[in-house]
Amino acid sequence: MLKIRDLKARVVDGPEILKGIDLDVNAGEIHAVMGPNGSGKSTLSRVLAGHPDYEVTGGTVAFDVNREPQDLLAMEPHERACAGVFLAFQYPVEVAGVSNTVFLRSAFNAICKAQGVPPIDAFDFRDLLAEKLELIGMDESYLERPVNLDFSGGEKKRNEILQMAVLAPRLAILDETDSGLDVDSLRIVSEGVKRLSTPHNATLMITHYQRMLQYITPDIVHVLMDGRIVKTGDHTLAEAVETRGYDWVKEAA
Amino acid sequence: MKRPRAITPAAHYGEQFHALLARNNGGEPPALQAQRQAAYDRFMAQGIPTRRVEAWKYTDITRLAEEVFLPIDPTGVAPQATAHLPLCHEGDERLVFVEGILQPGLTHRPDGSALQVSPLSSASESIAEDSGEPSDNPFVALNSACWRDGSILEVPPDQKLGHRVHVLFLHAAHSEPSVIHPRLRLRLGRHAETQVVVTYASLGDGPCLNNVCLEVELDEGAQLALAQAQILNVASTHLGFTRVSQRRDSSLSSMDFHAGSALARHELTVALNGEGATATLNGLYAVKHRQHVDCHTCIEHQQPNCSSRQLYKGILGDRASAVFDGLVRVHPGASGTDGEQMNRNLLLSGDCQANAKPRLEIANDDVRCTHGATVGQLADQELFYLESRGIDPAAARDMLSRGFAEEVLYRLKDRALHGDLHAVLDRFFEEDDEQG
Ligand SMILES: Nc1ncnc2c1ncn2[C@@H]1O[C@H](COP(=O)(O)OP(=O)(O)O)[C@@H](O)[C@H]1O
Ligand SMILES: [Mg+2]
Repeated sequence: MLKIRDLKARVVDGPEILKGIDLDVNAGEIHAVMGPNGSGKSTLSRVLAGHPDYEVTGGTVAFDVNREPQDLLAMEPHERACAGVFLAFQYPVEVAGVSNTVFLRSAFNAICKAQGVPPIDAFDFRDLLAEKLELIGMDESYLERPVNLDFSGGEKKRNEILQMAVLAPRLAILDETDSGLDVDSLRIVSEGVKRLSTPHNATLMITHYQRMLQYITPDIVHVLMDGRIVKTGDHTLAEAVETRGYDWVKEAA
Repeated sequence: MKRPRAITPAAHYGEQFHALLARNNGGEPPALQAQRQAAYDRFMAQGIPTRRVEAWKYTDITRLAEEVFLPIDPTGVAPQATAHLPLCHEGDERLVFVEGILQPGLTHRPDGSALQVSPLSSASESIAEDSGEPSDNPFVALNSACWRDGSILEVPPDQKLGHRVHVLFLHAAHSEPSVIHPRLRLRLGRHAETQVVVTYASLGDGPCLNNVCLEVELDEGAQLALAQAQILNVASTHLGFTRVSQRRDSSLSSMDFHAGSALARHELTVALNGEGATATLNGLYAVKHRQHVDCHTCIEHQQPNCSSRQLYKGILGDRASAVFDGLVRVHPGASGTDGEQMNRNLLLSGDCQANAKPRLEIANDDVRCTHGATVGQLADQELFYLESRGIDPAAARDMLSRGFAEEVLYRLKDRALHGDLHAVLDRFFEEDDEQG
């Protein structure tokens, strides 16, 4: 579904941050990307989503759309979203004056339109929202509030996962969704993410700690250091990183 | 040679004024006639300010010294036209002025309404225009000299009006430039409560000089929600002057909305004359093409423990320009004053210009006052956030711009008005989209 080859990227006019990433993600898989602070995890996720602050300096990213590989890097950010890529932000953005409902429905209908599906009406959308709210353990009062405005850190993270639940992406990239969540929220959100995982979609969990991995067992774990994936393994790699630290990975690599 | 600070108005102003006196034919009480004459003399003596006057630094109205706008009589607005009147809703108590003259046929007064309406000409006491501080704005004096019709709206003590009051000042003419001098006096008795919407709108496409004077008095504990919606056609000029005086524990919630006119200037002055009075001033202006809007606010904290909250937001496109000049003045003895003032401007093009001048004058230690102003474009991070959810860039810009407006409009408790003003903004944005 996703094939990243020798991906290099930098902040526009800045030093290189991603120094050649190779990564394959297939439908039905859950991947974890772990790495110390500053290793380039958020950069990787933002580059995949098309963030304008970054510039790709080399490599390719192919993303399957209708089973045909497409050049993801050639697409605009909204086209990537419509093709099924979703980024849960490490630092979700506050949008004053736009209610969660209006925002979600606009996004949902934009994706419907791109996929040639008729838009959903307000009533059906309510029902859909109610179901997803329950999955994430959020109450309805969030819906009329402006997007993320004055939400706590944890509420913002939950709201990202609510959006993921509603938009049903084929590739979800979760950038440190576990940070900022208290223990209970972490469990609920993790359960939600797990239930959203199907044989037809894939999840890329980006974490610094392995908090979320207590609840979701990844199929494949990658360790990212200094802009490169230095080690790939199964879920036991995450446990090894947790007990032995990143220095161990560096030495082993 | 230095440019003068004021320009003498052309002779047609005098002709108009004398025509008005002749038309009234001495039918008005001598005291009123004398007031008109005094106001007219003041207007002539003041002259039209040039940009050398600080208060007019960014707003040039010198063309008004020469331009001819004639008062005209209302014609052809049939009663059935009410369905097409802007911002109207079933159940409103409605007063409609066309070309400055009250139209009984368009007016609607619900049975048993506690609102007392009387013609301004019946006022026993003098017009309050020259009470308080003299205005830098000569058009206030011109209004006092030349108003043709006007109303006093009064809510008796302890009455809470269950419906809203909507006063429309309509300009219906096509072609030749005309002038109207809307004038209202709004009085709420002790602990009275009501909601008033004043709309200034064009039914025709002719240019209009809409020269408004609104006087508001809130007695102890009275509560007023006042909205002014200026949606005149883009050939028009709007000069508004609102003076509010508040007694103890009264509260004012004002919404100042401008989306029309080639040039609009509104001066809103609130005197907090009684302890514990509160004033919330919300404003939104949306201008484009070459429109210019200028909002001046002045809050006089005269007494202890009053609070004022101001949020004025502006959306500017094309080559439009805007001015916000807000003065919060805390007088000696007004301890415990709590004042907040904020002006935010969103620039949608590189050619528009916003001037913000928040000012504080504090003659007292025991106060909490904040003020600030921002001028900026849509935030890239917010745009990307929306786009990352599938919303295309144009729609994302639209959504954020509307959100910017909603940040002040959501404060309207009147949901009908909230919807109406959003509809006005929809047109503002839609036309924008058509231009590409
Ligand atoms: N927008 C940016 N501007 C400047 N530097 C950035 C930006 N984004 C990332 N960086 C730098 O790139 C490196 C990797 O950052 P990031 O991808 O956020 O790491 P991680 O998410 O793994 O902690 C860091 O040194 C960071 O300072
Ligand atoms: Mg990060």
